[in-house]
Amino acid sequence: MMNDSGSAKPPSPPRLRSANLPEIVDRPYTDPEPFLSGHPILPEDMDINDFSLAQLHEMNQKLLEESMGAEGPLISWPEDISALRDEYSNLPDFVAQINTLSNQGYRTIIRVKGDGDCFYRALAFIYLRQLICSASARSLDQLSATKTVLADAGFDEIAYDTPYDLVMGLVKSDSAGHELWNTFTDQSTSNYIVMYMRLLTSAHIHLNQDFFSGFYQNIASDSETSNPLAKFRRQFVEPLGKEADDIQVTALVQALKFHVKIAYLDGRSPNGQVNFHDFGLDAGDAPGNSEPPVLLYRPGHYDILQKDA
Amino acid sequence: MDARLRRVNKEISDCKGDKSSSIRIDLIDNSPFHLKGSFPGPKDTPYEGGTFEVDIVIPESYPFQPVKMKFLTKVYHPNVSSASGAICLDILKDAWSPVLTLKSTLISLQSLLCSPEPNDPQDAEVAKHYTTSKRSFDDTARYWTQVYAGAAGSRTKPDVKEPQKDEVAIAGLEKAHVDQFEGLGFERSKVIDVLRRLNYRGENVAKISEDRVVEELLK
Repeated sequence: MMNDSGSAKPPSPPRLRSANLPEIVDRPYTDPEPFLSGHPILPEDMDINDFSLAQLHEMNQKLLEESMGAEGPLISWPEDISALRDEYSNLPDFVAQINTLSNQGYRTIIRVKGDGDCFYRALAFIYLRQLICSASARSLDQLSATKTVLADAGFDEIAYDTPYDLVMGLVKSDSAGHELWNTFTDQSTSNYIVMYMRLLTSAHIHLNQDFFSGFYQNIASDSETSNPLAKFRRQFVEPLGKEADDIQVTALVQALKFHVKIAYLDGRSPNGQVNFHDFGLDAGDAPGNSEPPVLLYRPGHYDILQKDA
Repeated sequence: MDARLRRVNKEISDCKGDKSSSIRIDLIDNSPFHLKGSFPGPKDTPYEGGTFEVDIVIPESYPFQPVKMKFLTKVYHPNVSSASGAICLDILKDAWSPVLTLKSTLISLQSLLCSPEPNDPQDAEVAKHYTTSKRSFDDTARYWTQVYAGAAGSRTKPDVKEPQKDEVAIAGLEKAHVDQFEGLGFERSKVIDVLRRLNYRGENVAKISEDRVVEELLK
């Protein structure tokens, strides 16, 4: 105890005390054992192998929530992937997978806020960046073609022309790099971009009902509704904050005629192997010359993964 | 320009430009974010002939969050508060989608008048009236439409500029019932209040004893 020596010490500063709270006893401060994310998730006497799958899953979710940060920017500045590795330092299966990515040259992660819009925001970011960088008349044509999809799906022009003009203005402004990042961190502009992506997803599902109704049955069957797919679009595609499932991912990538790879970081491959899934590339298509952009998927969340900073 | 302002301005001018639609949107003051919508009561309903005004507030986060609407015109309907005009409609709450517009939302309100949902009420007393006696409910809703929403009706004489409101009809009660308890020496307004709260209508009249009513009146 440090506060028992009496008069030789200066008086301790006044402290607020509440009758309902236990009295605070001063103790010498010692640094706690460094835990990942600063939280003692693992009791010291337990090994990672002692945990059940369910517990590991729960720990992953906890980490995910912390590493996504509710307070962070909508899109982070590029970070070295070692930051992610540090967060997972207690989970060897994840570390092995992160090392694999790093060895393949994926050294940079751009984090996207986990607010339910992460897939749409991440995909919009890499899609628009690519359009802006290619800077061709063709890219403007590609974007204006998406507006036709919305009209064909019967949306009210009022609902989509503001976000469309905003996205088109962004591509025309030729503002890649820092400016694009600024645009995506501005809440209102960024949400309009997300909204455009969501409407496009919804329109594409509507226009390709036969293809997507197969997906939908895997998600939920709702026999009470006459048009379950319409209800699904209304409830789980169009409103902001609703997470994207495979059906939305497939639809948006198709609607944009885009090609993206998604790397699955799930800690389920003991040898550290990482599965990449191609979206938007038909079986018959030959892969293009340039490598497609990559999203990093952790169950429930998307970030952007890239080779250069 | 602010994207929200741009969208709302488009919505207002779209509504003004659409001559085929009966939906109107007007400014209340100089702000485009506080508006007044109006639409005619739907045909073949007790609301036919009335004009219904709606207070519209567009929140900061519109169109990502729903627009705020409530009736300015008093409406007798299970999903509308008879006192405050508050509306119970899914698209104004969790079923909102940014695809919806002010006009489409007002059209949804118009359809709500056609198809009440008494199982998900905003005004429990009105909903009880609706489920107890649909005919009596319709009479009351029709009377409200005449008194508050400007519908022409057989009960209002054309030569009277400001028709006297019939408190008994507004409460959706029978004059004979009110007279009966007033005759026992109770104040008329109190009788109306108690009978309304007890839902003293249709088949319920037989179920509620005279003693029960008197007991309430004596409280």
